Amino acid sequence: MSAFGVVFTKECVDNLRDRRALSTALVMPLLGPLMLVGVFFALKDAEVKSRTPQIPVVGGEHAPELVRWLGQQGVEVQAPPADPEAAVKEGTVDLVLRLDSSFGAALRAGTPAPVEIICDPSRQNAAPLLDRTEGLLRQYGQTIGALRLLARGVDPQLVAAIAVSRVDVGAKDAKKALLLASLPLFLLMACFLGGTYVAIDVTAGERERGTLEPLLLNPVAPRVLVLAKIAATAVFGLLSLAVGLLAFAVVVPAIPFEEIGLDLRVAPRVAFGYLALFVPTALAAAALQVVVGVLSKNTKTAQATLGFIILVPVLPGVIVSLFPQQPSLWNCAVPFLGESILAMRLLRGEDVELVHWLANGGVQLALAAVLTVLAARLFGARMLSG
Amino acid sequence: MIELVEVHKHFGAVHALRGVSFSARDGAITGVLGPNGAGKTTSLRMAAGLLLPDQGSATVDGTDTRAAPLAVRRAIGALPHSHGLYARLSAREHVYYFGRLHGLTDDVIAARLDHLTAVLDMGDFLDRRTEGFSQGQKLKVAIARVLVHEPQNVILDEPTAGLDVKGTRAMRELVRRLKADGRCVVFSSHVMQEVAALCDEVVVIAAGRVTAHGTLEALKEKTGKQQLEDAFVAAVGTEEGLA
Repeated sequence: MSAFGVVFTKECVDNLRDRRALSTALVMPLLGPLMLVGVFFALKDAEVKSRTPQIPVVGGEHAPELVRWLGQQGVEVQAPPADPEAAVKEGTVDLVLRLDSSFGAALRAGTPAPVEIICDPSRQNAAPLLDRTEGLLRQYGQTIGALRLLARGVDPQLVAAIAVSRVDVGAKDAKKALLLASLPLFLLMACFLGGTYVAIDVTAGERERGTLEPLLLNPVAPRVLVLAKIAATAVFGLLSLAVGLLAFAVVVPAIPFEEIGLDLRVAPRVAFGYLALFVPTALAAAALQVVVGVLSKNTKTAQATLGFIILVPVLPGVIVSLFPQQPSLWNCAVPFLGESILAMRLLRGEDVELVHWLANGGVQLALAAVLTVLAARLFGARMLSG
Repeated sequence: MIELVEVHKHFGAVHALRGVSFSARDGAITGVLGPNGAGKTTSLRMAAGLLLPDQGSATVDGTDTRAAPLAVRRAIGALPHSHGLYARLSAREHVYYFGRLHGLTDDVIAARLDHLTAVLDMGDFLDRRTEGFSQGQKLKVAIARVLVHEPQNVILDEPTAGLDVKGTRAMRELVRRLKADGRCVVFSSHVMQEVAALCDEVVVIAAGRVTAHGTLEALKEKTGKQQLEDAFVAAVGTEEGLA
């Protein structure tokens, strides 16, 4: 076996035995899919709630027509709490609708029929249901009003001077976009986090343990040692990436994302596309982390620095999720930004142009090469002093 | 055979070695003695080719460390002052790792490990991971991995530091055995009795310079002192840092 192979094998075996390194590489990438599942159920819950509002009604027997009409509009009419005011104040229910015996009489007499909404407008959570309830009651009132006008031979449209409708581009969609963008972000982080402990162990750790000098006394050029160490780090990054991809590939098809209006695809083709996209990333991440490890005085400073370094891939990913970008040659050639942009396209089932992929992969491989050369120069006897 | 000629070394503003010259013969034990911070470790790192001289030259068996650093490392087995182990590897795996880095086949390593295990009495802990090893056990593993490629030149930087009496005796026994095999052994220490008990020749280093070099008798003669301890102190110029 070549010296490269000897060192590479040793570092892999050694770090596979490190429970911390292994659990980081294997467990961290599962957090992404888990979060995806969590957010899915949260969003779905919110959707179901907004689709069938639940309104407790006091005195429903005084207005059976209204109650039936509410039911037809998809409202779940609930039995009221014993003390409606207290219940709303405590927040156990969002609001309570109260009708009394004068309702029917007023309706028949053609005077405004009283309906009370017991509510607390200062509570943000209750606001959507309050809006919805008021809207429904207004609509019911207008329907009856229109019938009255019709009975008197007047066109009801005369009193409806304007027609207002909402176009909702609000928070719900933003959450979905964020959910979508988090997928590539988690994979990017996996490329880094999987190798972090290994990168520290094989550089600053080697120095801290006092194993660096014995190692350097072997007839092996320092650049060969460093190359093997970067390769071992990359293996853990790739392992983490593979676990993440596998988890997404299992989770995504198993969850009915279309129920919340989200179109996610992690077909085998996409998974392989991701692998092709992120392999150069993992190599660059490994080289970057090893450089940091070599420059760090001890494992503690290495850990602290690498904690910051993780922002390197995260920031571009967040930018892409907040300001979606169309791929171009220049933005794909920006390390870590390009992957996020292209990964989003793959996720939506869109094709990735070969030049964009080559631009991104090429730049990342070049970055990996430069960092490797740098690490090889820094690694050696000078690490022993200082 | 290790030879340093007029070696200078700077670390930033610190002039660590100011013209160190000495030679260590095959079949002899050469002791390098000096106070802490005198330049012992730096001199030995020079001899092993780990550091290159700013000025002057270091040769091992006639090979210049600057010209052929890897060839020099094959001819040398060095136990550095910091000889840490990998906590998650067993003693056996340490020896195999270093043997393979020297390009030895597994058959050769297996045969030499058998021999080293017997000499160093490592049978009990050979297949245990080194985490939790005693100082003596750790040192044995460190020595085994240094000797697995059967180097002609053996450099031991303070090998008895932290050892108990039994361990120290075993270490001395090993050093004598290496000498009997005809190897060149360089041995650093700041413990005078140890140097006196083992070494054929001594090199006294103080403040980055060699202040005395020769047999123990020659050293006594040169300094005009009958007691070795007095001779050492005279050679170093101060009692500071000696034990």
